[in-house]
Formats: sequence, C-alpha cells, structure tokens
Amino acid sequence: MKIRIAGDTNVGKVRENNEDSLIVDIERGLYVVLDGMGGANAGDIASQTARDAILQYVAHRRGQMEPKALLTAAIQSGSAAVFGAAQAVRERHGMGTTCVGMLVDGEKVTVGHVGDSRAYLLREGRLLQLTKDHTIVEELVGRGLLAPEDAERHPYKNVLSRNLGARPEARVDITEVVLEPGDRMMICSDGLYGYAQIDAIQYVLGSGDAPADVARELIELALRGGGGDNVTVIVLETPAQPVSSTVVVRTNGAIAWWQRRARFLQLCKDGGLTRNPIVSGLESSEALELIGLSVCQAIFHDLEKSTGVNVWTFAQNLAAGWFERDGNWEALRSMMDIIANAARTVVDELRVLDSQLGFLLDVAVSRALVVAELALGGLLAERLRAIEADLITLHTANVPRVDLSEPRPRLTPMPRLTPNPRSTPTAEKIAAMPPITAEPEEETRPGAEQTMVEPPMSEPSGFIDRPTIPFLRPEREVSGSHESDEVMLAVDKTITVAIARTAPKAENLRTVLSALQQLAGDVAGNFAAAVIAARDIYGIRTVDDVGIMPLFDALDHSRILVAAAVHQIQVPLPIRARALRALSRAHQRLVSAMTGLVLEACLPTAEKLREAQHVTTELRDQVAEAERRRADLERQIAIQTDQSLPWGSRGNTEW
Amino acid sequence: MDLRATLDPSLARLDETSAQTQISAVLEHLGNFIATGDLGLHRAFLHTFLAMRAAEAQSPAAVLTMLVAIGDTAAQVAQLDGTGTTEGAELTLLLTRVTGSTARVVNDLIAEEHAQRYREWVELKERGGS
Repeated sequence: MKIRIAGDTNVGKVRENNEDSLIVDIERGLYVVLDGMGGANAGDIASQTARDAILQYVAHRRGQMEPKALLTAAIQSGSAAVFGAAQAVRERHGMGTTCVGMLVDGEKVTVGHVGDSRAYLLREGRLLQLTKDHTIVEELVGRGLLAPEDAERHPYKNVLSRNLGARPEARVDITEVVLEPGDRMMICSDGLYGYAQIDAIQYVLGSGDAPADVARELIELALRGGGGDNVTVIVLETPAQPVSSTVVVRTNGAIAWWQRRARFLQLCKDGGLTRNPIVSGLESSEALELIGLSVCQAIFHDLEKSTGVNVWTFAQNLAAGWFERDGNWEALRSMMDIIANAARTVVDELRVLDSQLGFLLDVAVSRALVVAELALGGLLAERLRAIEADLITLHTANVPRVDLSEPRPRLTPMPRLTPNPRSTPTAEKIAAMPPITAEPEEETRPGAEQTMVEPPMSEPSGFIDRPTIPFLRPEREVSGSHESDEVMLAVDKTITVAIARTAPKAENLRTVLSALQQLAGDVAGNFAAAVIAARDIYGIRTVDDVGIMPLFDALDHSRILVAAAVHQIQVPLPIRARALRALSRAHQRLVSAMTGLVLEACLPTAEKLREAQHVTTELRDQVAEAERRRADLERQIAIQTDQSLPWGSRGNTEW
Repeated sequence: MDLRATLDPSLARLDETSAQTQISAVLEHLGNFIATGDLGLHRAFLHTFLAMRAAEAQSPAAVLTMLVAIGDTAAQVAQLDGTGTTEGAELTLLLTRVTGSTARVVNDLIAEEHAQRYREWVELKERGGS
C-alpha cells in the first residue's frame, strides 16, 4: 500500500521559541511528534534530545525487533536520554517531553505515546482518538473520580502524569492499527487540539486535500484559534479505494451520454434514420423522437442502472413491430447500424474530451449494442424455428406414405399452427376458424385457412434427403408417417380445439401442443424427434423453479387439455381412441425427453452435491472418532481423579 | 470452464471436454479476428460454428447467447487482469466490440437462413396451389 505522509510545525502566536520536534523518516517508516517542556529553553532541548535518541535507536534496530517492542524501546531510550541530559545540567532539571510516534510496517501502524500528544484515525468519515492523554485529570476520569464534563474545566488539566525525562524509564502505551484504503492518521501536539475545535480538525482532515496541505491547514486552524502554543502535526494517508468503473458509468457516464442526446439524434438523422423504411410515413422529427430518442433514453437508463433491460425491450419492440408489418431484415439491420454508428461517434467524441470516462462509456455502450443484437437474435431464431416447423410438416406431407394399404389423399393440409410464417396466429384467429366438420371430405380436409398443397409427385426424394435443412441429421426420421390419415386428422382437430382453449399469453402451452401434434403420428417411437422438440421447448432455460416449473406445468396442462379436447371432436369412436393413444404416446415421449434434458442440465450440480455428500460423510466419521476419543479421555480422567475408587482402580498419577 | 453453467445452460449440458472444445474454438477464433480484422473469415467461422451446433440440436438463439457469453467473459477477464493498464483497458474494449460484431454477424446469418427457408416455403406453397 502506497502511503503519503507530510508533517509541519509552527511556533504559534504567543511563544518565542518552538519546543516541539518531529521526525519524518520515510525510509524507516518512523514518524514522531514531541512536545518539550521546562524553563530556560530546556523544553526544546528535551524534545530534540528525545528525537535524536529515538531516531538513532530505530536506525540501528529496525528489522531486528518486532515493531511493538522496537517503538517501545525507542521511546524509552528517548526518556533515558532526556533524563541523562537533565541530570547533567542543573538548569535543565525537570525538563521533559511528550512523545507520540508511529512506526509503519506495510499496512500495520504501531502507535506509541507518553504524555498528552495525540494520535487520531479518520476512517470512513469518523474521527477516532487512538491515544489517551497521560494527565492527572485523565487519570482521575479513568478511575471514575472525576466526571468527563468537569475535566475540561479542571485547573490541572494540563498537568502530565507521564512524560519522557522524569525518570530513566517511561511507561509507553502501545496500540496497533491495520490501515484500510482511504484511512487518514494524524499525530499532533496539544498546540493543535488545544486551540482548534475537534469538529474543525475532522473537517480539515477529511477534506481530501494532499497530506502536506492538510498539515498546513490544521496549523492555520490552531493559529486562528489563538495559537497559544507550539503546533506540530504529521498527517498520514492511504490511497482511497478507487471508485469502481460501474459507479463512474452509472453516474458521470450516464449523465455525459444524456447530455449528448442532441448530438446523437443529429448523427442518427445524418446516418439516414428518417429515410429508413421502418419510419416511412412519419415526419422527420417524429421518426427521430420515436426511434432515436427512445433508444437514447433506453441506453441512458441502462447505463444508470447497470442493466440491459431497456435496450433489450427497445430492440425487441422495434423488431417485433416491424416483423408484424411484414418488414424485412435489411431495413432493421440498417436501422440498428445507424443507431450503433451514431452511438459510437458520440462516445468517440467524448473520449477526446475525457479519455477515462470516454473509455468506460465506450465499453458500456458497446455492451448495450450487444444486448440489442441479442434481443434481435431471439426474435430471428424464433422466426426461423417457426418456418422450419412449417417446412418440416410441409415436406413430410409431401413424402409418399409407406403404408400403401391406406388410401393416400390427393391434397394434404398445411399445419394449422403457423399458417403465416411471419406471424404466430393468435387464439382469436384460431377461434375464428370454421367449425370442425365431422366427416373428412373425400379429396380434401376441412379448414378454411388451411393451405392446400399438391404433393410433388415427380419428386421422389423426401424431406430428409434434402440438404437444405441442416438442423436435422439426415438419418433422423423427423416424424413418423405410420398413423392413418383419419387418426392424424383427428389429432389435428384435437390440437386445434386444445389450442383454441389456451390463453393468448400461454406460449409454453401452445408450443407444447404444437410439439405433440408433430410427434403424434410416429407409431415407431422415434425418440430423436422427441429430443429435438424438447430441446426447442427447453431453449435456454435455467435449472431452477422459475425456469423449469412453468415448462412442466405446461406439459401437465397440455395432457389435461388434450384429454378434454379429444372428446369434443366428431369422429368415430375407434379413431378417437387411436388419436388419444397417439397423443398420449407423444406426450410421454416429450416428457421423457424433457426430463432427460433437465437431468443433463442438473448433472454438474448433482456431481458437486455428491462430492459434498462424500466430504460430509468423511467429516462425520472424523467427528465420531473424535467423540470416541474424547469420551475415552474423560473416562480416564474420571478414573484418575475419583477419590471414591479403590487405589487399584485409580490412575497412575496418584502414585 | 468454471463459469460455464452460468454462462449458458447449453454449455452446462455439455460434458467438460466438449464444452472446453467449444470455448477454446471460439476464443482462438476471437484472437485471430482481433489479430487479422478479417470480417470475411469471422463470418465464415461463425457460419460453420452455427451449422455444427445446429447439427447438435442447439438452437441459433442458444448459440448466439453462448458466443456473447464467452466474449463477455473474455472481456471481463481482460478487465480484471489488466486493471490499471492501458493494454488491459484497450483489450477489454476490443473484446466487447468483437462480441458486438459476432452478435451482428450471427443475426445476419440467422436472417439469411430464414430468408432461404421462406423462399422454399413460398415455392412449395405455390407448387401446392398450382
């Protein structure tokens, strides 16, 4: 820890000479304030004699003794030197000095003192007095013979009970402090606290100025208070904990960003935001406010709170709204690039003015742009998944049936679930579909919104042979084609009825029902398809109640819905039974695959749990063994000390 | 590797060797991209990476999340290791920007894939309607 330290002394406004002395020895980490006393200029001789002795002692023994013993011995050597000097010259009899010293060793500071010079610690805005004055009055207060409030007015308040020089050996009080970032320590003679209010001292000490300035200001404080005595101050400072970059971004960064919003909007306009198809039909100012200002605000709030939720929401709303309007990706990409370029230019300009803040803001804004891309990625992936589901069904429908005994219909329906790949149908749309007819038509299946697709008779290769769907391995059979058309039609109807009964926001449930529909036709039990469906549904969930429970709730709810819906379709009883069986089988497979995924996700935690259990078992064994040994020892002790036992039964110690 | 479960559940589901292989591949490529600045090579790598992960039944959204999580973690490591140094600060910023470029390219790739599927869907629909 790099420490800054400075000291200063002043004769004051009343005294003619300065009887204080100080040591600032950075090399040895020794800092001392001494306040001499005695007539005929003996005071300054006492403090200087002690100063020289202490300095010499530490210089010779630093590193050979531990700090506590070293400082104690050094101060005692000072006392011996002053005592010796006083004895040598008659006029100097009775001279002495106070002493407060700090020996700094890394983060540890040893404080030793004799007399009424003090040491203070300022930590987190609180000023603590580390030393207790060695005065008659303080001794009386300490023994409970004098009330603290009476001490200040006591006539002997400045009469010392201990000093260096009164006797060859001095009793030194020692205390230790472990420094923390931002700490400030101060040692001083009574010329400071005797003429300056303690609140004012605390204020100056905590001002944040450099130690040399603080020392000078403290002395000026005492001088303004009368300066009736010599004043000596040494101030030590540890570097403050650097303000975290997060805090800087949250405060200065967010403000700096918001202050440049006009520049950001101008850059967006220059980049072509107002000409982007997404805002076509809007006035330039409206477009800038709707898009530019919104994203500027979103970034500001995310900077302010260290989150990404505002930018995420902005990007998702922008993209979802645009896709709902059948907008294309290119326009959205262009819009995001305009925003990103404008943001980077604003940050670059800020970096020129304030490189540190600009850098932090650069990282934060770059992360905000990543969050925006993540939001877009989620939507894009969902669109891709939806259209792939359509394509899979479409291709599957075009594959000639394996079971030739079943009459193959000429026209095959598109799936009901996502008739438009650009948007997911709402429950209202499904509810608005024509009622399900009881009997399938001879050549077409019912459903007004269903798109009829002619099977590609001239194209023998099935979907699984087409390389355009890389998300599935060629050898994997996606969905079986082993159930009869009547059963599959009944399954479709059942799922349609079930979906119509779901709430618009029950996305999990709708996804599960969709998966069941895809899996139901597979009599052979193609588990790979179930795993793929389960992975799609599982997505990027977390393995906790919040992530998993809604999913299993949806699985459970889907079973109930399907069981109810299958009784509402008008088909012959055997077909209904087969449809229910197919859906039930699909449900079991899906739940099983989902459980497998959850178990996989839990595996790392489970392994750690097993390790913890193993360690716990070992610790329990050790505790049990220790308990046994303790009981054994207690029994032996009891035998040895129980006087009522016969001699032969006692321990050997009795002999 | 210590953080892989919190980085992304799709990484947590993988065994240690597979997860390490994936993370190493991404990190090595990020290093190459920083060194060369070759966006074409970056795009080619991500295209291959997406296809490989897709073959393992990882959704594109999960892959994107994983790539961003790896890049973000690398940036945080750079920030911690290089505290107080200009190099550390610059590397942190560079990694954050590279993560942004990665996310941008992945989204473009997903959008292109979607466009291709959509064309196929329209083609099949028209064929079915004719």
